Amino acid sequence: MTREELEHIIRASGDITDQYEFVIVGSQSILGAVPRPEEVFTVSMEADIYPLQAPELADRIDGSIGEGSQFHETYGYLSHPGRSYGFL
Amino acid sequence: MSAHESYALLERQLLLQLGDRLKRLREAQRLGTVELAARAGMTRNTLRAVESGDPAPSIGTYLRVMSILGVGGDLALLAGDVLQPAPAGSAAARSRHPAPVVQVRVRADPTRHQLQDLQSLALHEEAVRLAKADPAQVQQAKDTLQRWLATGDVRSAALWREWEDILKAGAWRKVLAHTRRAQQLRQASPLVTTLSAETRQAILQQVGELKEGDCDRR
Repeated sequence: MTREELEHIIRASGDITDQYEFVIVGSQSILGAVPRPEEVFTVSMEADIYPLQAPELADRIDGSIGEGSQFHETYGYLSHPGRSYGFL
Repeated sequence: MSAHESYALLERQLLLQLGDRLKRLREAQRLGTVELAARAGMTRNTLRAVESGDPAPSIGTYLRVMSILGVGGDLALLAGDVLQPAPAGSAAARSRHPAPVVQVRVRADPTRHQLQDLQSLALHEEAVRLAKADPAQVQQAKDTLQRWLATGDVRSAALWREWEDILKAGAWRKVLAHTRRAQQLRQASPLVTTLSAETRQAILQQVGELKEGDCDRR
């Protein structure tokens, strides 16, 4: 995933949740500090993301632009809810 | 959603968790797959299926592996009446000892994104089922794949090229396996995009119920 693709996901997540601050976890978080990392760091086509102020909305992002969504089908990359899960 | 559908994903998760546990137990005891399979009188493929939480092996097969690893007694919980009340009229039912309170929790390991993997696996199992029944689904995935490849994005090209072979050969086991490579393939999958919005949403809803703990059984 490139920095531009991550920014696309963040913009889409903003539209979906009406939130403006997001936390990126996992391997793609490197794109925040290093916009153009070596290719080995950009193989993943998933960004783990959740809204800073409303982490419970991560599932809504997953529903709209997650795995198997129209967004995924169109662009080839997708979001995953980045929030950690506790006990079920 | 029927109770059967609601619990299908929970059952899948339980088997995956059991398979994981047995694999970790084997590794902790420094047993190789060859040795354990030989001691259990089964092939390595069967053992691999057990450690992958495959529903196909019989409960007897699971029990053999559990016994050798020293956890066969865990099944006593199921064989006994600890988890469910004893039948009326049985000695256990007449006992004056208070019934034990047992709580079973299904836990997703957050460090491994286990629930997300389970969701991905469930989406792919359904997509594969539909692809087997309808070649048009496979063609749709091939078209999507060609469009992705045409973007010239080289980063996922290796996985996408492998998908070309999988779609051509119908090698579905490669993407449904409980391995790191299968997980990587699922993460770059064109097949999952062939699911209808309704089917996809139904699976996401099941996973959502697992996240919320609706399937917690006491």
